[in-house]
Amino acid sequence: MTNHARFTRLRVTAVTGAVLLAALGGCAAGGGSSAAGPAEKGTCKPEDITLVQSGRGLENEYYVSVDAGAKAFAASKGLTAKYQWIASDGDSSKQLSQIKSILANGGECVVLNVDPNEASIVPSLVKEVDNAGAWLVTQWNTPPGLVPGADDQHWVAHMSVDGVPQGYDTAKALFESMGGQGSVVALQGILDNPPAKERFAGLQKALAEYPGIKLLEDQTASWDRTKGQNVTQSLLTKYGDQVGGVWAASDSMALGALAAINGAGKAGQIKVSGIDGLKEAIDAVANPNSGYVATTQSTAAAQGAYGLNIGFAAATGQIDPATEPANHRAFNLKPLPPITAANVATAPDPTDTSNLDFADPFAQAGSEVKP
Amino acid sequence: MSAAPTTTTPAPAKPQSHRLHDLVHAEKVPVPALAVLILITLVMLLVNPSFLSLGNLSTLAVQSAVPVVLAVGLTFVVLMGGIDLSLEGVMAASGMATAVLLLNDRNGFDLGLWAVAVAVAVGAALGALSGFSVAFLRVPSFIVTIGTWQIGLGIALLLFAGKPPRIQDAGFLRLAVNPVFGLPLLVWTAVAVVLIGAWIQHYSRFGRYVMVVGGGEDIARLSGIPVRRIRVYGFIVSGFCAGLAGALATARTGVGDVGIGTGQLFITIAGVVIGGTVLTGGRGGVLHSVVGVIVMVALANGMVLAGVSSFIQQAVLGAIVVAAAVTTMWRLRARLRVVK
Repeated sequence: MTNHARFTRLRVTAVTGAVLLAALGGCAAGGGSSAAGPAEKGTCKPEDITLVQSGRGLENEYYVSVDAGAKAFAASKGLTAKYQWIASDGDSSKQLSQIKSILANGGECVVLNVDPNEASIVPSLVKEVDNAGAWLVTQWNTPPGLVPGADDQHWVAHMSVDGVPQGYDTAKALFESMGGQGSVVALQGILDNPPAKERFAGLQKALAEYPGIKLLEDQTASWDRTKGQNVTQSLLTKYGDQVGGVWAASDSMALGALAAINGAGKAGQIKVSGIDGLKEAIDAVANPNSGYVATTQSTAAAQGAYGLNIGFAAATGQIDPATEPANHRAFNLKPLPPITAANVATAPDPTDTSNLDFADPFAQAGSEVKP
Repeated sequence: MSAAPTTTTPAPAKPQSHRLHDLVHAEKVPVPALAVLILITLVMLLVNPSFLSLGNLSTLAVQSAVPVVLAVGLTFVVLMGGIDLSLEGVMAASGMATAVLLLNDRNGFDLGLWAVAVAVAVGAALGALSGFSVAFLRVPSFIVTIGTWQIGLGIALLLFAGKPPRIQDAGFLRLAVNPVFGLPLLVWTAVAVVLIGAWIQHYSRFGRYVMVVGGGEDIARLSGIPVRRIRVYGFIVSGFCAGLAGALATARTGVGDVGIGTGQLFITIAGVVIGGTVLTGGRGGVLHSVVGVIVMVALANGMVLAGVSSFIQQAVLGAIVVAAAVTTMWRLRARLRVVK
């Protein structure tokens, strides 16, 4: 009873304090969102740190590789026992409540690397982390215009992948394999997802450079393999022998397209390109008769490993987020060359973490994500 | 009274218009759904005649196969006024079981078609679990099957273990590709399921009991029908079909995938309803649902052939589903029926 009362009172005080600070901070910084006040470097001992990785679910090969990268980082710091993976299963409120309950047990030394289920939950995540004094790195999703600012001490960084070069590189490889002549169809992701938009913009950039290539039609297949297969079947019926290539915004859809092409008895004649670097796609690129000409290297392991690495560096005081330059606070990973027949033999497995170097947490930081 | 026809005189032949009227109003044939299908075909003939080309009809048959098998099973549950939301989870479990038990790149199993038998058994077992909970523990099917959906996904996740198992059994993969009498074996399997399902519904004791239970459970019980057992059987049939559908879908993609059933629940339930199988039970049937599912698949295919922009396809599909459902249920509107 006494304990409970004290806990409640403490919490009330803390909340009041936080609200006051937030109000003060708001006055000083003109709309800043940090509640913990500026410029407190992390003081956690490395062995006290808990590493938490949150993403959709391990039924998805991408997250399996994220998990592999995150585990590799945890192992490099001897924190394997203090690493945990939490699955949101595509449910935003579940993700938020999971993170809240982890932070409820005292959060100053919790490092979170989160792939927010949707952009809109980022502000609540940041608030939770500020209140608990924990350290947050976000991946992929953030509301337009919102990136870690100078007064966001605990939202350490936001990391993403620029889809434009990915769409552009794979499209170029596809067009080259067709000899720069012919017609293609495109399979898009879910249309309002930023990666879908960026990757398609990359395709259009490549189309502008190849006047001999015509885009017959683009259709969404919602990142889904079976849908990719069905839509490709329908497009092949519609355009028949005109189709010389299928550009897909993800490997899942491209693999569905490949199955449809094989089903139509045109294996190898119609070229296919995907993005994401799934193991199956890499194997298909390695098979010269498959017609699968390009994919990109997976960024998953790097996102898992460097996300935690940056959070860890902030929590231990190795870096001070407030003094880091803008291109360390919100950035795209450095673009990697695509995987084609020319380099597939040396392409790393998506779960391979042997080439990750943890000495510099910003080793993979590329272009700045502008707010 | 002397003018009244006696039992010995044959009934006079009905005029033509009456026969047509009877046909349109007979609930044995899914007339409204067929009308919608014909309407889609006519519109498509104007927009893009290749809709009716042999190649596209074969495409439609292949794309319909999996949801049709699902719909046959689901119909028995819906006819009894229940719902089976677990289809996608059951497909995940059975599809993944198929992939890891066939010759694959992950383990040493090579069970051949026995893998499909196991997959179907997994589906039937999950169906039995749902059915038992609904019939004997009296939990609404809506909730129970959300649970079995998650169990199915969980089993699939365990079997997935981080890397999708790729099937290397060439014979199994041919099911979805190599034509036999012009269509892949996948399609003939679905046709067989439809014929067996229709036979069970119309000619077996179980099938007729299902209709009675759907029409009114209390009356069925008073007539001595083992209502609970019939309910369990209904869910087993649904799980069996979903298990088979998971194996067939896996034959199409050639890889074990937890998301193999994604989106199938919507197509199947929409198809069942558009076909005229009423969600409150007792009306409709296997053939109705099959026509309804074909309407859904034809719509998705037709929109690609018609070149409808990706940005508005979803909305168009939704609008057509509502319109088709209204058309199909127009006749039922006047009857004393509670719509929930």
